Amino acid sequence: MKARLVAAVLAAGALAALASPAAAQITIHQLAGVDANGRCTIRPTGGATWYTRITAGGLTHAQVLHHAAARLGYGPSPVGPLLVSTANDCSTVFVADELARQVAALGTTTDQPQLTTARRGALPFTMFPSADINAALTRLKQNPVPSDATGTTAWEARTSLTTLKTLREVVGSQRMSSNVLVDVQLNLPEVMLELWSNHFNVELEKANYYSHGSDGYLETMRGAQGGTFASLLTTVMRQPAMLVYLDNQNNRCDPGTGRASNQNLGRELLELHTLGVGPSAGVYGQADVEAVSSILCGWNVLPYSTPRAVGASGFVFNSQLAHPSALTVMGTSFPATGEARVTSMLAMLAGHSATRAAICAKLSARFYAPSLRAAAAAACVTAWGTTGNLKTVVQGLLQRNEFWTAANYRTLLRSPIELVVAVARRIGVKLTDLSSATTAAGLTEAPFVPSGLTTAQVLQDLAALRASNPYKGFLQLKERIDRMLGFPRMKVPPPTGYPMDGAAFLSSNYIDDASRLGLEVAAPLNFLNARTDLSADSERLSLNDQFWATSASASLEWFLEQRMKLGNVVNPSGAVSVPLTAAHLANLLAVFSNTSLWAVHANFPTVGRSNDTLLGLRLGSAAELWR
Amino acid sequence: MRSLKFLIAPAGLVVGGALLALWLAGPGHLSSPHPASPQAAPPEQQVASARHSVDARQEPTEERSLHDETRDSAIAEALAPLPPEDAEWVLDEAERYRAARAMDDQAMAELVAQLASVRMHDVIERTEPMMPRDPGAP
Repeated sequence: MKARLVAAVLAAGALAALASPAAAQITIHQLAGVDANGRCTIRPTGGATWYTRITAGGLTHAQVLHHAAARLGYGPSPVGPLLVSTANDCSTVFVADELARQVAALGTTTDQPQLTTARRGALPFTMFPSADINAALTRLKQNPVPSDATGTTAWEARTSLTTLKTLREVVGSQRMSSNVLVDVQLNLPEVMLELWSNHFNVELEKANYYSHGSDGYLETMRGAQGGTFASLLTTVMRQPAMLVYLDNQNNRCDPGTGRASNQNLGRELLELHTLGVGPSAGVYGQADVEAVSSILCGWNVLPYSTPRAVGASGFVFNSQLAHPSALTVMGTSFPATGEARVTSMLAMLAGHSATRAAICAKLSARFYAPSLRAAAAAACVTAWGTTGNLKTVVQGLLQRNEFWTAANYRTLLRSPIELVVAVARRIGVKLTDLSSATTAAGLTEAPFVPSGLTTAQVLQDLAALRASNPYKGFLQLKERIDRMLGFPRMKVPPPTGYPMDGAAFLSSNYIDDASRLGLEVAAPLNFLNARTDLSADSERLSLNDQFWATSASASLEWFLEQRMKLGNVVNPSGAVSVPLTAAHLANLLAVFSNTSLWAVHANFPTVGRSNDTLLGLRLGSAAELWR
Repeated sequence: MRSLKFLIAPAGLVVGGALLALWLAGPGHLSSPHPASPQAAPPEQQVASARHSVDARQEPTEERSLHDETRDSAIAEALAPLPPEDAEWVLDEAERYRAARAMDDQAMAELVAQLASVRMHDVIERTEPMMPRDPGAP
């Protein structure tokens, strides 16, 4: 009881700290202001506690920045003045303040203006309202004539959503500050969204069988990740995507027996979304699965024949299909109060100690090295308290000395998504490049309002989009992620989602794929960057001098020229070839700067790339595979 | 061939309308459980269902007639996209629920719409296992 009280007080205090208005934080223009002792002349404001914890961990300032970028974002980017190579106490102050800001901003759904502008150019169709998409898709289905441009465009809008996610991960941490583009390196909102969307995995294609079920799923989750876990759970459980994916639209209690006709959602709600264990673990039993499923009867999606207003929820509770009597789940009785009963049951499950433990274990595994996870999970449980406020939980999990120690530094393997995005970021995509490309391609938001366009206009704009560099680049990045994952993103069939531990993907083929990432990502990024003179970016040209001092340089040259047939960087479509320049080579070196990976090829040139398990043994030295 | 599921609507409307007429003509025409129906209602509930239906038709007021029209229109619209055997399943299932629940016409119409959507999902999976690909993908 006393421990619970203490936890509640701690959680309340943390909440109050999060709610307090943030003071002005350090700007990028103050990054160099260190005194003779190397101490930044600007002190942290909102991130004062973060700063204390960070510096107590013992990492160097460069390691702090790299660690923050790699673990709380998608890897360091060379864009802007906040660079690992020039890190000092001011950059650590910056990280502390920015971390405080990003934790407090969890749940914000509005993109920064520059990203919105870039999105209009790179992925303009994602700006469509769902109602427009649905109306156009219906026309498309009713009209088999290929020139139904509005319908085609609407379809493109829906399929662009996963590409939008990649866009936010690659450049979502970049913003303009007094006309200077800075990558703040941390991207906690997208890291958390990836975690939650994988925790509440749905296959969007299945969801779209029914009532446009996938619309708004990710955006809604993005808006709910700053509240309590109970509210996030309830929000997700009301989403048509989840209801359709786990078949609860087909769950109704038999009017005679009261039995639920489908237990899929009820079972996964217990085993995956909340308690984290199967019935055999003893926390709950099959009778509880059946009772939960019965309570979920009538928890449904709007019928096809019911008009759905713009922005309206697709959820409906149909009391006729519900169970008419009280039901007991894990010892708690839930009277037949209709929709409110489901909400009460979800709150009970969200607040259960097993749920707290399961979610904290998952969060700890995402952020901590194996040896540090148990203590991190315990800290998470304390921060969770009885309310489960997710901002407090994230803060409690990360605002610890242990997170910022050498024992936790570069100890986790990147998942395929993280790896591809990290390599893209390492090469240096710029938000301003996307904005420039938007202007160059003549793309603005206005022409893509489908209701105001003729078919010819839509087709013309569609052609312009497909010819635009940002679109090509991000589409290729997304496809690369799909290949690395082994299945299309957001179309992971099992409800367990994909393994977030990169080690689960290790195989000779995966390593083979990874070994070519620098090259294959550089090609689409050549589309993204309108510039041809990559040497303009000094960071990109910061060659690893040590590399050239080793024999492995010859290995790399051999690898590029002989194994990869590189006299050119070839566009995957085959339409364009770009001469391999020193700048390309520099990019590759920056990505795979560790020599040992390439040395394998020098030592075993006849083995070839695939199925060379020795590459796997050398993997631990490949810098970009670690976060 | 992008999609079939919206092309079946006109045919479904005709068949669904015919089934609706049969259903409204009185209990018994469609009271036998459809093979896909999970379970037939117990006999006493079938009796209750029949009584409810008969009682409802014993109120021949003008207002009642308008109400019926509204309800019937909503039900017909909900059943329209379904193939006949699926529309029959919906009506059978709705009848089972009406037998066990106190349900006014509005609730009945909503129930039919909900069950029709459930069945529509099955139809889509049966007739169109994958969503249409982007017809103009680069």
